[in-house]
Amino acid sequence: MDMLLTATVWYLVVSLFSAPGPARGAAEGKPSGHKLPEKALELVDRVFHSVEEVSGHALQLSAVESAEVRAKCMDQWRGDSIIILVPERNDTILGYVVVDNVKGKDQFITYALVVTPDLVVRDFEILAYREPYGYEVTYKSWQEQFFGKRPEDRLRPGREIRNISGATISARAVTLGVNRILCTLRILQGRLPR
Amino acid sequence: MHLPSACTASALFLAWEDKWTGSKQYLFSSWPLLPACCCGNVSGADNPLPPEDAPARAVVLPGRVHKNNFTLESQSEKVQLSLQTKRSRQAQRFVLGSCSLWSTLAIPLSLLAGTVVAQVESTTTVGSYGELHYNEPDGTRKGQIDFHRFVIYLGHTFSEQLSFGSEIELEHTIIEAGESEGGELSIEQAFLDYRFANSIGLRVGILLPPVGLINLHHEPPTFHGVERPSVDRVIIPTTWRESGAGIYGNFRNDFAYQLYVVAGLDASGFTVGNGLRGGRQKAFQSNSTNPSVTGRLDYSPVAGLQLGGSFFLGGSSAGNDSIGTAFVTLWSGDVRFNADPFTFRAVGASGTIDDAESINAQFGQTVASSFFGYYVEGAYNLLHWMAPESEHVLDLFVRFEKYNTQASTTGFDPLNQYNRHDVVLGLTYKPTYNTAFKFDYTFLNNALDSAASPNTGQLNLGMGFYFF
Repeated sequence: MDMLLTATVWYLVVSLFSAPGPARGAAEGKPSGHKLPEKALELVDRVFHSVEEVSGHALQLSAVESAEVRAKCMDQWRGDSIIILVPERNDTILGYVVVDNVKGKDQFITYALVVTPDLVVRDFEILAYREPYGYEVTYKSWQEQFFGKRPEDRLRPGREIRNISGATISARAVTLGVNRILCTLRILQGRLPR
Repeated sequence: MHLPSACTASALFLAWEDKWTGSKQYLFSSWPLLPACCCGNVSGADNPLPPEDAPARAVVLPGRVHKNNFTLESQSEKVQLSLQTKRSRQAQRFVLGSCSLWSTLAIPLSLLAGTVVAQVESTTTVGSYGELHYNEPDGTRKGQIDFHRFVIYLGHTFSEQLSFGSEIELEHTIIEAGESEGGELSIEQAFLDYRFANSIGLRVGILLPPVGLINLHHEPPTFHGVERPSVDRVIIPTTWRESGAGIYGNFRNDFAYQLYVVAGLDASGFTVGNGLRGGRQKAFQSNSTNPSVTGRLDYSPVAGLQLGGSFFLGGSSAGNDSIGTAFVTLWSGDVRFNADPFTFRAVGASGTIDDAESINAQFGQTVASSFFGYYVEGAYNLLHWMAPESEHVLDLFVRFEKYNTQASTTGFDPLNQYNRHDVVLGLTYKPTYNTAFKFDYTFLNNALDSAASPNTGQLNLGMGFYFF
C-alpha cells in the first residue's frame, strides 16, 4: 500500500502544476499520464545519483512577488504556486527541480528544469510534448544550451538561446519558461528549502 | 470545491500498476465506493484570498528515492495544502482529519488533481496567418496588390493523446459565384493525431507531405522574401496536401521522423513550367489508384543546426492505364542553421517522372523525365549591431535559386527557358517574432533569355503575420 500511496503522491505533485492534458488523461484512466511522475523521478535519479530523499514543495507567490516576477522575468506564472522537488542526501540539498508547463502552438508542453542550490542549470527535460509539429524542442542538442545558465543570464529567444526553425513557437515558449523559472527562483531565493 | 467530481477523478485515477511486482492495484473502482472521500474534513473551501504578501504556505510531501525504488516515509497525520485555482480565484484549503495514512495524503491531493481538471474547460485553439503582397514587375507588365493568403487555424485537444489540427485557407480574398477569375477556398490541413508515445503517433486526415521546408512551415514571418522560394513552387509543389495516414515521432533525443501513405499525384495536371504542381489532388475527391509514400527524417547534431531528408514516391496514372504507372519520385535534402545574428538555409530537390512520353502524348504537354532545383539563403540581423538591445529583427538576406523543370526529356530536346535561376535580395523587418514587413527585389533569369522569355525582375513588398 505504501507503494501505491507514494506513486499517487508523486503523480499528484507533478500533476498539481502540470498541463490540463495529463490531469485529464489521468482522470480518464489513460496510461500515459502515469509516466509523468516516473519521468520526473527518473530525471532526479539520473542527474543526482544515489538520492536519499526527495521532498515536494508548493511555494505560493505573494502578490508582491508575483508583481516582481511580472516586472523582471519577461513572462508570468499560470496560477501562483510553484512546484519544486528537492532531492537530498545526508541532509544536504542537492538542487531544485521545477516542473512547469508552457503553451506551445495549441497544447501544453510539460518540462522539468534541474538547477543546483546556487541556481545554475544542471539539466532540462521535456516530460511531455503533445504538439503535432515543433518537436525539435525535445532535441537534446538544443536543450544543452540551457546547461550552465544562471538567473542573471536573461535568456531571450533567438538571442542567448538559439531559435529552432520550424519550431519557433515551442522553442520560444520553453526559453521564456526556463528564464521565468530561473528569474523566479532568484526572487524566492531567501525562502527556498535549505 | 466540486467534491463529487474530484472524488470521481480520484477514484478513477487511483489505479496503479505496481512496476516491481507487475500486479495492478486498484484503490477504488468507482467513486460511490469511496468512503475515504468523506473521511477528509474539507473546510474553508470559499476562504477569501490571503492578505497581500502573506507569508507563503509550503506543502512538504516527504518521500524517499532509492535506486529508482521510492517509498514514502511520512508518518504525518495531518496535511495542509493550499491552492489558488485560476478559475475561482479563491484560496482553497483542505484540512484532513484523522484517517488512515493513505487516505490522509491521497485524498486531499486527489482533490487538488480534481481542481486542476476542473479548471480546464476548453482546449480549442483558434489561430490565423496571412500575407499581403505587392508585386511590381519590370517592363510593361502591370503591378498588383493582393491579399494572397488568409488562413484560419482550428485545433482541439480531446485527451492527453488525441488532438486535431486544421487550416482553412482563402487565397486572393474573394470567391464569387459564376466568376472564373477569383480566389480559392480550401482545407489545407485537417488531421487527427493519436500519440501513443513520443516515439510513435498515428496521424490521419489531410496531411502535408513533409517534403522540403516551406511545405511544412509556411507562416509568412518564418521565411524571407515576399513570395515563397520558386523551388518550393515548381519543384516541390507547395502547399502540397493530400488525404492519407501515417506515423510520426522522435527518437534518440535528436531525431524525428514522419512516414505517411497519401493519395498520389494525377499526371493529367503536370506541366513543363510548373512541374508537378498541377498534379496535386488537394484531397478533393482524390483518386486512390496510386497510394504514394512520403516521409521525412530530421536530425539536429548541435543546437541551431538542423538537417533533414525527405521524399515522395508513387504512381500518377490516376487510373488512366494508357499512360502506364507514371511513377514519380521526388527526393529532397535541407539544412538550416540559426546562430544570432546569422541564419542560413538550403534546400535541394530532385525528381523523376516515368512514362513522360505517354503523359505528353495523352495530355499534349512537354513534361520532363527529370527535374531538379535548389536554393541557398543567408541572412544577417542588422539590429544586432545597430541596436543590440532591441527585441526587433531586421534581417538583410540574399537567396540564390536554381531550378530546371526540364532537366531531361524523352523524345525531344529540353528547352532552355525552363532552366532558370533567381536571385532575391531583400529585407525582413520583424517587430515581433510573429509579424513581418518584407521588401525584396527578385532577379528572374533563364538560360534562353530571348525576346519571348527575357530575363526580368520584380519588386515585392509584403506584410505577414501569424498567431495561435
